[in-house]
Amino acid sequence: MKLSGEALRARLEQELGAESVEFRPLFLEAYAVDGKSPGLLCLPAGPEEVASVLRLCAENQASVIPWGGGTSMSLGNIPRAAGVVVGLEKLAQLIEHDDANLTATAQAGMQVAAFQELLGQRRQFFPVDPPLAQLATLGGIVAANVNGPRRMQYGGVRDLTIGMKVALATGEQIKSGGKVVKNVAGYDLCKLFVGSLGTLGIITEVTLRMAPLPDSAASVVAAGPLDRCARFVEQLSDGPLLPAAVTILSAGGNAQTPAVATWVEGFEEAVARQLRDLAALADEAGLASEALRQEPHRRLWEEVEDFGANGEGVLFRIAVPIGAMGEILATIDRWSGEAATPARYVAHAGTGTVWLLAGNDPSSLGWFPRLIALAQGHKGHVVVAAAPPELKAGIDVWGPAPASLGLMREIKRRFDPQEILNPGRFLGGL
Amino acid sequence: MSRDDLINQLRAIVGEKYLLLEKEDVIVYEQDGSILQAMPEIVVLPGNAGEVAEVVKAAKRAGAPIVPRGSGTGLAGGAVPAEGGIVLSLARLNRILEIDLKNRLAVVEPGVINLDVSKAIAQDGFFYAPDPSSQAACSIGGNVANNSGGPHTLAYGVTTNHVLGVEVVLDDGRVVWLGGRVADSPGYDLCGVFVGSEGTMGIVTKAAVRLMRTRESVRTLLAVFDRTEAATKTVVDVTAAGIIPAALEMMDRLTISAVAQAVPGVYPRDAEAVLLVEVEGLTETTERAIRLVQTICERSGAREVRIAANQAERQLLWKGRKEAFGAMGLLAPNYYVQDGVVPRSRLPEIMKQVAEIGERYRLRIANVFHAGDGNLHPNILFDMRAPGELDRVIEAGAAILKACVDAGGSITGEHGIGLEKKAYIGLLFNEYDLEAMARVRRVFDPEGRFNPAKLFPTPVSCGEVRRQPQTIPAGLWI
Amino acid sequence: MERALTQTEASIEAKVSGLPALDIPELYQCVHCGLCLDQCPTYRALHIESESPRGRIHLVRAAAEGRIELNERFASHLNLCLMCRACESACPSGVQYGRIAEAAREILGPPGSPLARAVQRAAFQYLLPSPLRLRIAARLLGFYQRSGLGRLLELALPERLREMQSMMPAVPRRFFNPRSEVMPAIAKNRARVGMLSGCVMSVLFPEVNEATLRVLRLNGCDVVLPKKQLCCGALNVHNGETVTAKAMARQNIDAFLESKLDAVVVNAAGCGAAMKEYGHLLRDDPAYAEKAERFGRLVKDAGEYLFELGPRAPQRPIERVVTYQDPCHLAHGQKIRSQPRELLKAIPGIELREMNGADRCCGSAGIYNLTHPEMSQELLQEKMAAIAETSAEIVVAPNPGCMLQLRYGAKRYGPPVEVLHLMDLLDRAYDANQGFSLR
Repeated sequence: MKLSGEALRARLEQELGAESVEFRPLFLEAYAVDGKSPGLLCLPAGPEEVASVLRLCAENQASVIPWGGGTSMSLGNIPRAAGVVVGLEKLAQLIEHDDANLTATAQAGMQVAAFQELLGQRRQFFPVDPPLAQLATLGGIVAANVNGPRRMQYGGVRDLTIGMKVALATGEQIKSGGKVVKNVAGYDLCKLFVGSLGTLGIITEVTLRMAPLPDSAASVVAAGPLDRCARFVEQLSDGPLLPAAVTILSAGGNAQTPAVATWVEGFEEAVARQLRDLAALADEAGLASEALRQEPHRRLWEEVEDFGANGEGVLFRIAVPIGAMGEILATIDRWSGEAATPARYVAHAGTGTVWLLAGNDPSSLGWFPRLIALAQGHKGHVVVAAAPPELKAGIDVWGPAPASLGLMREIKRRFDPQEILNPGRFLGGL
Repeated sequence: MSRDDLINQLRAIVGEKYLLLEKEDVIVYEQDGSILQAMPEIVVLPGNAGEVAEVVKAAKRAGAPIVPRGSGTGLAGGAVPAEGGIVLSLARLNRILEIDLKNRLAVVEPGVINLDVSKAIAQDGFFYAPDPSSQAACSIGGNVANNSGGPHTLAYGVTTNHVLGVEVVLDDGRVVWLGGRVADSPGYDLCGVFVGSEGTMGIVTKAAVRLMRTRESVRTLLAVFDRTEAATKTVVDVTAAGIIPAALEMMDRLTISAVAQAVPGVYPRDAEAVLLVEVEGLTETTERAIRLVQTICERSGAREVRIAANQAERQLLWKGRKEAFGAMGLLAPNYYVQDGVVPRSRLPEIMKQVAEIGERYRLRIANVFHAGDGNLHPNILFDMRAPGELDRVIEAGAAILKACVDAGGSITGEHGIGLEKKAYIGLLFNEYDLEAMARVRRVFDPEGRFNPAKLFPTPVSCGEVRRQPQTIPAGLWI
Repeated sequence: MERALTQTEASIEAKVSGLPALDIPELYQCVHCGLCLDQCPTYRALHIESESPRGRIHLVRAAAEGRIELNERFASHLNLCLMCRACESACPSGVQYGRIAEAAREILGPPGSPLARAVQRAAFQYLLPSPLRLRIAARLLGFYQRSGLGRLLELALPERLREMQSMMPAVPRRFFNPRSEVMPAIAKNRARVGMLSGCVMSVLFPEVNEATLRVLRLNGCDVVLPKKQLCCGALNVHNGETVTAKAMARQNIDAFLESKLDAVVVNAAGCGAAMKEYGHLLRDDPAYAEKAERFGRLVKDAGEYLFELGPRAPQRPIERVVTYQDPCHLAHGQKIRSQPRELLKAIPGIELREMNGADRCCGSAGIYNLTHPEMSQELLQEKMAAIAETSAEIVVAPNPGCMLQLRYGAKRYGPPVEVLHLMDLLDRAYDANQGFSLR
């Protein structure tokens, strides 16, 4: 029998302890999703408690919003309901850093920055650079498939996640993958949960691949007109250099012209050689270049990573084949010139991801259909990664549904038959 | 629908020549690269994706199982039709449809031979990274099904990291793309789940794969050790020092003694272990990395470290490694190879355990493996004609797999579960874990007709499958 | 439904009713890895497992175990094989596929329709073992070709026969006919070698034999050409006619072992491969087993031998682009790949350009182009396209079967390349006069 809200709260308090269940509206406002405040906030202390909460909510058809650091809460459609927010802040332990294996296992609620600090003690790091790393959690970036500029060298979250534990909406706890880098036993369910935005289960623990901290790191920023930037990127990718990140930054803000930022790291002599070669490439392309090290280098990339992450506008994520980048950006620049307020972007040239930031006004949505047509022309796609709820209403932020939506619907039905997890936030209303 | 109706429909789809029914035609499809056999009733070889879809529809109407097959090089019985039915060979879908160097991708049909992709782009300075030992014969479709690895796995990742999207035929004959030509397609990563599903979800008819630029420098080093532990510790130290080689291979005394006979003059006959380390990248990087590896080897007590001075020397070093499996024939008439994985940090202790298991079961075990990945290949040597020996071999094999799992590892790093290891998957996953996988299976294949009796620990409906040992050829870097 | 069995279980069950004559040890060396598949010309063309080496071995094994019958279908799979042995080069386990296929063909007998079999049997048993009869037959053919009768008949012939007729090379007016059994070196004497005249070589390519003879003599070899030597018997072996083949082998062994020789030089790849394996052919003959082994070790391909001997540097430049076709029975059968290429590179002026798949069969394969014209022509077209890509003017293929096939291909499909034997080209590159002045 379905319990009332009050009764469910009592059961949850019984299960987790009263101090781990919050119901006072003032506190719950901070956990609003697209303006919808939840009815309850639960803070389970371990994976078993996460599973218990899910089981109770499923039994009572209460909707559940998993919550890591809250940095990706603007991603997704407006939820149909926001019943119980399940916060993972108490699952914040590093379980194992097996440095000789270049892997680490941590609970899902662990913050990325805290994780990096512990790894750094053994001269390793997790090579994903999410926005707002101080807040973002491991489970959160895995569930939302958040990647950063160095993906071109180290791979994305989907490549770096080798194992996980998940509490399913039906209350079971399962594991997938393992702690070894090479493993083909059974289906690779990790892939299913990466980027599923908490709609199939709540990730409670992840095992991730690490990378050794590089000896040295630096950047070259080469500034000039977009067509020259694009030529620079083309020359770079046709050559032997192996940069960690190549990002085209639009004009706007403090920048008078577009620029390409290239991040190189590794042994000092390899970094030095790449800085030399990049400067020469920039010269050839007719760009003014500057090498950055230490603090300026760090600040540059922090800015790139956090681009659009503070709710300052409507943020689009456009994915296109890398060869089409120059053309796409030129079109965007043209449209931007025609717009009332110009849009800005950072474009990761090595992976084909463009983050486009438009203003917070309704006219910004006009970008969406045009960008969809543009991306689809190159067999790419566009997602509205963040927008005020009033702008999200009535659209599917994930863009047109793929042909495989039917399969995805079936997956959802099998894993979350009552549709309690993040109802409606995923594409096609899943 | 009767068998005759099915046959008539299939004939209408693929034509007389590519529908095989006679025993002398279908019997060759009873086995793949493994040692397990089961006879198919019908073999069809469609020539394009449309025909594949029609075959799948006809099979659905007839309720017939479908076992997809690429080149049949798999080592776990994945292409063996355990419950009879239709073997669907994709060998004729072998066209490279598109090479798009600008966007670093190629679109290929599933029957394309792995090596042919790299060959097609080599002159432009590109390669397709996953390079299974069988790459001269295995197909991209088979690689997708098995999420195949290879020696370069260590630096570049396995198949799943290089597949952007797949076009698949679903159980009702519908053709859909999973994933696409760019990363992060919205929705669930069905492509990611499909890769490695061993033919149990559907049939790949196209794959969009990533292409990589050839590195400007490659350096290769051989280190010789008098103690196994010093070698395994070196493996741990190399990764711990922050060096990720392109390949890091190890051979033990028994293997070296065989290789020294087969390829004289490369490896010292009396060595207890050797490591073969290769680094790739910028010249400045490889130069420094190879010196660092040299220092680590020497510090760990390597009695000799030799860096290949040129391409010929490099090839000679690899020749010994590549022929190691063939050379096993010099040690014993038969051997049985395992594919367990452990975290690299546990290599020293697992090697000790493997040796102990050998002693316990009175069997000699020769090790030649991808040490950098922690992917073991213990070759249990024996003579099939010796009474009772085979049983001990199988028990020892199981004991090694269990030890790998206990060390936090896996029962298969690259060969797959297939028929061969499905009884052991319970060592890794409990019933809930497996049920979650089964849920996905039911979405794709509600009737369980795609490659039935594989991967999941259900018994084969008509009888027990036993495994038998067999020699594995040289050149297979399994 | 079939129960899944292991290979060994199946073997044990089947042993009872099997065919022990087929149950040869080579069968059990195959581990089913599949590395041979993409190297097999018929598999590449059809992509059907039973038309691959692994599939054929599987079939023979199943037949040996009595699991399948030796019926027409079985035979058709075995007979579609070109016997090029590319699979042996690819096999990491060292399986000698050729021996497996020969064992099967020995039981099956020659391929083709009953009439074709009768004709072939007559050729294998009557013509090949007798140089005289072979020459008479060739004379008749030459007369027929020159008479214009052929062109007249062509109108009446069915397409298949017309095709066969057009593949027939023009028979030269004279055959290879050395002046004496021993031809002395025309340079400082370094060795004494036997030389196989060969059946096809001496009749259709007398100039190649003459060139070989000159090249050997110019390199300081006394060359012995025993009058009693016969055709090597390779065609007989490949087509299941082992009784005749053995008789021919015995006579050749006796003919050559009469004189003391450093080597028996063979300029036809197929013959060389077969003669190196006389030991295997006669392994059950107590009187000849040892002799045959000894003889086999003496046999050398002409290019192989010359390279080992250390050839005199050719002086006369040949300014041409050349591509090299590996005869299957040289590259795969005898593992000879680099020596002929090195010899070519030593000729001044020659630019050697590799074609794609140089060691892939051209489709000639003995009499295969007659028994399986469709497959043969498919492979030939692929080969000619690969040659065209190199823009070569000359194709070197040191084997008569390949030369015939490629000359036909050049005429039929283009490009119009000159097809030569390695010895032809070397002969041209040696300054004959200089050689004679050394005498």
